[in-house]
Amino acid sequence: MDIQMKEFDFFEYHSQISRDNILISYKGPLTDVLLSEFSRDIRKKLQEDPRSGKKVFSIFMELAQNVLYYSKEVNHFGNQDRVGTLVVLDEETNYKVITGNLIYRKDMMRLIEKCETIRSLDRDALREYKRKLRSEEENEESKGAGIGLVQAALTSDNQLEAKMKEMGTEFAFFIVIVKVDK
Amino acid sequence: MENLEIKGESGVYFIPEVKLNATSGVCEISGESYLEDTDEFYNQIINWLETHTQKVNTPITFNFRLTYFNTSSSRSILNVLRVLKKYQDQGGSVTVNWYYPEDDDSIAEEAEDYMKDTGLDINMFEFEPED
Repeated sequence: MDIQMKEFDFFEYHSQISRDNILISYKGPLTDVLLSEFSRDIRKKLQEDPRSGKKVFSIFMELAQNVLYYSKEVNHFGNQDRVGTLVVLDEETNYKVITGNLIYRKDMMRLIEKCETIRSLDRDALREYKRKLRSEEENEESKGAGIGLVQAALTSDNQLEAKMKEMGTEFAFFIVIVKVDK
Repeated sequence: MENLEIKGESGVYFIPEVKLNATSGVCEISGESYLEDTDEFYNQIINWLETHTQKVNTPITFNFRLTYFNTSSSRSILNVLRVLKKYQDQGGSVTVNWYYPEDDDSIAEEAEDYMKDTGLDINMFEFEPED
């Protein structure tokens, strides 16, 4: 990626956000109220396609809850809300739910391993893995986030994609992309 | 022993409708489950069941008729089923009916997974949810 910032091109930005395939696009502090508004919006927009729509809704809920509870970027105004990016796309043959948030660099390896495990398992093995995570006591954050990712992969019936980028010495940016076929 | 009734509500969170009947032993949870404090909510059900099975000791039929629940709720539902299994192991009569929305494979699969987890027999029925 270029170190030097490209000049901001409003026309390009405008045409990007005006594409009618963006169902949700949000970057900022997340609250439970916002999350429920987004979820209602998704339901409304996808009511003509209930089967895939319900999948998109429940994947969005799991991934957005991970951002809401675990993002390491915090807005210090007001209620210390956690900050993240949420995107839902309506593409030709599929929908995509994408979330991004900061994590600690020290948690990167564990998350990479978790995502690799999820990607390596077939549906039956993934169900076993979810059962295992679910019956364990929930007190550690990585487990809480883990079961949400497993559920998202199960619901989507597609490979979960994860990307990470180091941001300075303490943090990394973590992106999850989950696809739902139409 | 009193009934436990919680009215379902869809606001910032999705609160499922709960009806636990002490006289008939028929219990039902329906609607959608995504809660601010999932443990606190389901502990009301678990505590009621534990008291009921200790004091009243009559047959229990538990109907699950949920159309959506998040993973946090699914953990709590497992704990409810574990209490029912414990009651059955102690000689109590327990029937669990799991109604899943038509065309929703994942909620049907959950019942199969819960059977494996708890050893309970769960009767599965498809239903058409009202909007």
